[in-house]
Amino acid sequence: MRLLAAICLLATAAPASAAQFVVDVSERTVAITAGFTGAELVVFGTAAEAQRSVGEEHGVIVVIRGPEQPTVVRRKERQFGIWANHGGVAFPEAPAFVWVAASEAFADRPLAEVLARYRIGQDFLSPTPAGKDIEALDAFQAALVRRKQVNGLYSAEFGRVEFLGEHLFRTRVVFPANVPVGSYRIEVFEVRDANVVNVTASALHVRKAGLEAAVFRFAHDFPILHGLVAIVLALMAGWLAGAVARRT
Amino acid sequence: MQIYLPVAELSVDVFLLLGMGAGVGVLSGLFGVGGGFLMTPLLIFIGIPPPVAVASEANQLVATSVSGVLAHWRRGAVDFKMGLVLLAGGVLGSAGGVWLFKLLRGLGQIDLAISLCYVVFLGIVGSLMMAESLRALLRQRKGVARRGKLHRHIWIHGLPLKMRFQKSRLYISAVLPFLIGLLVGVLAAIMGVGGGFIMVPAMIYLLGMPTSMVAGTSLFQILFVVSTVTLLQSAANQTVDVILALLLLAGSVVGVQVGTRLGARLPSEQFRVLLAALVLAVGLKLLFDLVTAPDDLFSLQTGLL
Repeated sequence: MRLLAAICLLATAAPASAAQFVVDVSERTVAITAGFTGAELVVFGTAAEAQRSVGEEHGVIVVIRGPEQPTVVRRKERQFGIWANHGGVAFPEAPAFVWVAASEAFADRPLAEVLARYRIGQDFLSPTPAGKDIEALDAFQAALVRRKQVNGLYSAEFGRVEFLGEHLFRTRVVFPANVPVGSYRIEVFEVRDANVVNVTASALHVRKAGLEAAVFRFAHDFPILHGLVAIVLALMAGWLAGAVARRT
Repeated sequence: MQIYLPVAELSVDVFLLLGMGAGVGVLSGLFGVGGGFLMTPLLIFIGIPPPVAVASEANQLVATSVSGVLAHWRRGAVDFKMGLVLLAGGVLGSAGGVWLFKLLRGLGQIDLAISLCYVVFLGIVGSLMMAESLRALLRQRKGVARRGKLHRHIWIHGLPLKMRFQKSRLYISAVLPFLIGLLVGVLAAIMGVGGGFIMVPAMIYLLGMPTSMVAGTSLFQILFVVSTVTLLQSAANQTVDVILALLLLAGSVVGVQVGTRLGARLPSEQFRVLLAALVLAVGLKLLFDLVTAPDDLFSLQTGLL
């Protein structure tokens, strides 16, 4: 309801020809609780220039990227008849999650081509490795992106940004159940021809909440105590089961 | 119904976990095994990260072994002196195993190490068990009981540090049970198993312990070793997922009771063959995965190394 009201407000506020470039998101935090199966939120706003005819080189690109995570890409090789990891490349700052959407003018074109054109997202399309002069680096970079796409953590193609009228746009973002926790950045680009004419950035947080958060924090902040509690819980459960079984 | 596992950091169907716990529990009750050697590979198959699977399974085994130890203790079927010697080796072994685990994880070889350990040990134990149970079946058919020698003197009896184990009526070197405990401790940390499937045959054939003492004494050692592994994995790697362990446990508690009751009614010798076949099947499946070309040669490891 709040979202709908906000959209209506934006719609009425937008003048006919040139508007302000304004962007907002329906939720600022995604809480992972016990029953978490993914989350959906809406990014919406107004483009400064009017979206007039279909096929024109004007539109909006939305990029949401997750926390940077040290990631190692390993390659398997056959040794003594067994496929084993042999060699790997570390990427110290690969984003854990990347989601992109674009409006109609770009949505059906290859993702890499459009992003390269506007110089958006080089860091996740060709992430920087830890060392230099690594053999077959391209293969490792491509593998990082491919594995992330297979796991649903990187977009393989554009999501859809819809225009409602000439200025107002919105897009629905779906976070999968395996979404990594941390700070996210939402970047919205308004592009015309070969240029980025407007850009905004805002923050989004994905965090564990409730029991899940408490258990995780306990496991990490007090690892020894956590181990002891885990043992005691199991001992009690086992003893109880034995006692019940003897009764029956 | 999905549940988010806080340490594994993924959502899994609650009923799948309960079902796995129950299924493996039935087998545990039926054959008197801990079931870690089945549960850990199953958890890895459904996508739980191997380090979390191994550590959480150790946590669950604490519960399955405690009720067993108590039951055997009440019947006086636990040789505590032997158990403590095994345990001394076990604690040292599991500490070494957890350290080795961390090292291999950093090298990116932990998945391979886990699989290889499974292939080797399931292969050996499965074949031995199969041979032994088939021989027993044949003997049963023929109806001839073979009489063995009362005491066979082999190299084992020449080892130093001899100790007297009254309950098992043994006078043997403490070195051998210590080494057996050590090996089982390393395996517990790396494979997420109690190690009963190695220790029980070793106690019978290498130590020559009376069968009445074997189950209780091995469970005694396992209880403390899996507790040590749980504590060390939690402290060193933060990979124990209590929610996962509790769900598996809830399923297995019921399963074990069903299995025990089934076991009383079914012919045990035939079922030993089945268990041996199952052990071999799990080993072969893991071997198959190692030798066939993977779909994608590349894999990712994220987070701190």
